[in-house]
Amino acid sequence: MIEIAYLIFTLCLFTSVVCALIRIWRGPTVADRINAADVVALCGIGMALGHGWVRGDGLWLDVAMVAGLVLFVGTSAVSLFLDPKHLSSKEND
Amino acid sequence: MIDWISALFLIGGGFFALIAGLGLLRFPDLLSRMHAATKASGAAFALILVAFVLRLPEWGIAIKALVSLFLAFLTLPVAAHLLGRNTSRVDVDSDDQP
Repeated sequence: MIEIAYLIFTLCLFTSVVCALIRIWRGPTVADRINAADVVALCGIGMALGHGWVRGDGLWLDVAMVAGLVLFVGTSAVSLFLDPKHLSSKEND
Repeated sequence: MIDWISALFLIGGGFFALIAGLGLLRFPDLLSRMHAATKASGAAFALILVAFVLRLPEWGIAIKALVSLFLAFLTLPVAAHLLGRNTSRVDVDSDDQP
């Protein structure tokens, strides 16, 4: 029963990762790609938590917490790099 | 019994992650895609953490899950807000036909 629930969970996360990768591939803007990469990383964190869930190992909770913080730092850094002054070539003030 | 409830919460978390991916793929606009990805991912993270705590009912794991949930609910909207704020000032033509 535990294994069946884990299988359904992993298939859901796999489908979500595939959808986000398609969005990364054909995203019209850079922000779409950043957002989809965010979803891919969150699904990775979810897979780590699911692995800890099915093994009954509490160590993976620390892994998920640290990965979430690193994900926030990465996303905010790339979003700040996406400053409109660097993107729009029309008005430079 | 509590394993059944925990498995139900885990499948609910996977379902919300699936909704996040499908919304990211199917929504027509950049801001609506950002909305789908951020909110459904937060809900999925919360449900997976509840399943984790129900599977291993100890105080240390519950406190760590609470701290992790607090940090996720603090940082996910901030990251989405930074992204949306920096892209809403640029004239993006974000309408592809779904």
